[in-house]
Amino acid sequence: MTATPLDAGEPLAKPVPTWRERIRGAASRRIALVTVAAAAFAFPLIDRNDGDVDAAANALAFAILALGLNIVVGFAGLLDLGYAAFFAIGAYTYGIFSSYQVQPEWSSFWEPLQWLGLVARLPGAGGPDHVHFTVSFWLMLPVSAVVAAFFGVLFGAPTLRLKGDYLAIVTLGFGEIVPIVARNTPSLTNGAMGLNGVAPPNLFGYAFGVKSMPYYYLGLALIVFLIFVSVRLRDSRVGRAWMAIREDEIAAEAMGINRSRLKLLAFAIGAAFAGMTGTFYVAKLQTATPEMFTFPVSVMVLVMIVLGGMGSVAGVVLGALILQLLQSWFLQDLTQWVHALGRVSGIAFLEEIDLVQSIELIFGVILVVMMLYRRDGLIPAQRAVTGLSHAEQTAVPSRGGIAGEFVVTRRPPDPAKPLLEVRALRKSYGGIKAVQGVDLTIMPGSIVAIIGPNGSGKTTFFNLITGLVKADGGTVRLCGEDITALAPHLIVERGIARTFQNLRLFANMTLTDNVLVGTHARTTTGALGAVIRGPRVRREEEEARKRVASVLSIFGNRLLPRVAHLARTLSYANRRRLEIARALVSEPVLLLLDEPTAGMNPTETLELTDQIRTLRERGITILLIEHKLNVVNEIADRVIVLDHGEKIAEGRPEEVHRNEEVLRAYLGRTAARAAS
Amino acid sequence: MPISAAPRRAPLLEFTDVDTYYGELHVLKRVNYRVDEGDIVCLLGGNASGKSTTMKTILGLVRPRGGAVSYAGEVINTLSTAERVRRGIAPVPEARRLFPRMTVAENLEMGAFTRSDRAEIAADLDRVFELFPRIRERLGQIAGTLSGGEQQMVAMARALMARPRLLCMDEPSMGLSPAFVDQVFALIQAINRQGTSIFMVEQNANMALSIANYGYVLQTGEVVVSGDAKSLRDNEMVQQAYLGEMKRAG
Repeated sequence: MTATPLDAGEPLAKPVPTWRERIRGAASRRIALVTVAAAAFAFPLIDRNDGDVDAAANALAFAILALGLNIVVGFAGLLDLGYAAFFAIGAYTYGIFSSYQVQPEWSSFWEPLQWLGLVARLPGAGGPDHVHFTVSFWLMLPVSAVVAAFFGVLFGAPTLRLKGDYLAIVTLGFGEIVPIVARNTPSLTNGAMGLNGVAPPNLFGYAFGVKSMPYYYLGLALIVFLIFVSVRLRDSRVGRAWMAIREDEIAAEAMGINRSRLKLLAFAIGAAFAGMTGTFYVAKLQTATPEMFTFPVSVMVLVMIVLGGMGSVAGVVLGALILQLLQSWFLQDLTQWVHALGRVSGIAFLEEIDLVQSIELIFGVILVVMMLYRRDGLIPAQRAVTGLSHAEQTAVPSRGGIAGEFVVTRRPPDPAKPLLEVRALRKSYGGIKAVQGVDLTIMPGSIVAIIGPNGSGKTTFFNLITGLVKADGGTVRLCGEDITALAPHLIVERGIARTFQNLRLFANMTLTDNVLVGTHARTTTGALGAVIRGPRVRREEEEARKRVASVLSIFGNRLLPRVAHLARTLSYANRRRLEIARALVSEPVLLLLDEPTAGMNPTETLELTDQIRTLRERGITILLIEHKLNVVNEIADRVIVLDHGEKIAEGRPEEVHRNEEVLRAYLGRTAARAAS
Repeated sequence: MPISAAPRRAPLLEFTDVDTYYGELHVLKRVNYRVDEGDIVCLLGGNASGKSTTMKTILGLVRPRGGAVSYAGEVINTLSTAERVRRGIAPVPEARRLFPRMTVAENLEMGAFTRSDRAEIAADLDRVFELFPRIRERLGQIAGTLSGGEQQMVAMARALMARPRLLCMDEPSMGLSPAFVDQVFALIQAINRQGTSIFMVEQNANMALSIANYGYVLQTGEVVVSGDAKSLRDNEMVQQAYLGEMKRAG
């Protein structure tokens, strides 16, 4: 037998970081940032070649597009193949209001606008006078963003129910429509000939003109601003909600996220970035033609994101710069070198090669190589798993419930009135009656268990209560309020949280972020607040994080040492614990647990049983689906048994175990013996 | 440390000082296992102790950084998962993982993907129907619409269609109602009697030890106890930590 040699001296404990690793920390990142910023600032002062600076300014424009598309595709996971449409909308919005294209007849209506400097009066040659739009670039920059955002919402709204391929096809359609409309509306856009004479920006009397340097600095200022916006959004309640939608839409909804609203917000903000870029780009070129905004542009921006690292702010900027500069600098130089080589060697073939022409081929090769060797991009958005010491990896089960600091902050419901009332709830799938006419009343402070054979409708019952599945009939009331028809995120706000039988965690988010998503229903920060990050937002975030830490502490060192790991690296039982933590942090009055102890051994099961009991003592009412009868016997006040979607028995655990029908339908040999 | 030294036969699967990592995270730490031809071996351990990683290492989904995994006398560290299945290691994965939009019959066909002997596949199908009469009734049904217990049976049947020498089962009883748990364990014994060796990760330690002949206990990536099933059941530490006989602290 040939065993591979072992690294003999490998310590089990986490190794002490070397000086190299330490330097790689926060300080080194700051140094890198300052270096990049200084180089970017000094570049046009060092390289006086206007062509180079122009190429760099264009590259910055594409980097902004990549940042914007990254919000839609990278953060929210909505594949958009028509992103250039918004680029076009921003470009034409500025172009039309700062060129000679549209010239209505002059009337007194225009006089106040003339006074504001938005229009000028063109003396007509023989005929009436006309209006010339002269809206300032600086005004149009935010206006274009808003107009593009409006179209983002408009195009996004019909696609809300779509995902993946379907969404991609619809956005592809919008991406085609916009340049076609531009081509066929010559009165507004001058059609295929393109807008001409678009006014360059003017800052305090300094005209930008045709030199590239001022545009470069303008582009630099824009990109710094939009990187800031991207980072602030990413690390906020809004950014986490987007990523939650990307990872699992259903779980995101069940955590209180209004997914329609957040998807539209992603479309709108992504479009706004493109709108600003369009304005910048057209002001720089002083012309706009429909060909500048066709499908290949959308694809190119997408390629930049994939190359740089989807969801990674620094990555997509780098990806955009590399691809743009590859096209405008390196390939031209390289082509000339190849030509020179051809001349020297006398191989005619080499002299005819034009690498710039085969740019698509080269992009294709780059993409294939990336997919083979570095799927997460040049700068991946996610961190690798960090090492843990042996002590951090070791978890010893203990009894006695939750000792930690976790407290329930919500006001307890009226103990005399039922918390949840379910009446005649029904749901069929095709011919299969999943739930048929189930009644259930849960009093506050109780633990109720649902048991029943596999496929008896238990999980459907949960989906009906939480609004993930719409009922065919019957009512669900929480504290007297009818919640049957409410959307899932509104039901979470009212105080019902749940876990899932088949585990629906946000796999590519850290443990902390997973649980932070659970606070969505109890926090309010919006997109603007997230960018400005004022004292109220900061306080809210701090409190949410504190609460997350206290909820994670329920499970001792099973989750706490791993808070910075991605959820997908957790073991099965720890995923179950993380789901419970995520549900708890939304401050429910009623917690629905779908097989919470699945994948846990008997000892761990006892540990969790005690913890569930503690939750009840601290004021949370619990409804659970569970197959392990010792758990049910130990903690449930009441048990209901479902079979074929019907309630066949209800009562105290010991009563239910004696029921003949239950024995036949469900319990089987071993359990019946144990119960007798 | 082994707590009993039962006489053992020729090893079918053997782990020798195996180390595995996820990034920097050291998961399996110089682990040794052995499954003999005809054995039912069960692996116990708390969660996050490395049980699922063990399964993935057997199947080649995780590659060890040190040590050797050998099967039928050959080191298989570098073999692909497909090749391992071809040589007779078949998985019954955690949470079943059927092909949910294919019919039961198609799922079974996929189990025999590595084989070309039509007549023998048909014979194996009959053998599977003998073990799982219920599956014959469900052949045309879309697998995703089966109940959890039926899905578990299809997953076992699908694995058997590869005509494995070693069946690797990850938590076969998870999420099943008590009546189904009984059935599944009875079926595991029946499969074993027909000559297939079984390596099983199972949280229902009482049940697992009642049908296994050998067991290992994994803790934080290290094998802390191993021995024949009876001696494990009598071991106080195992009772405390895995059989749920833990005393309440306070």
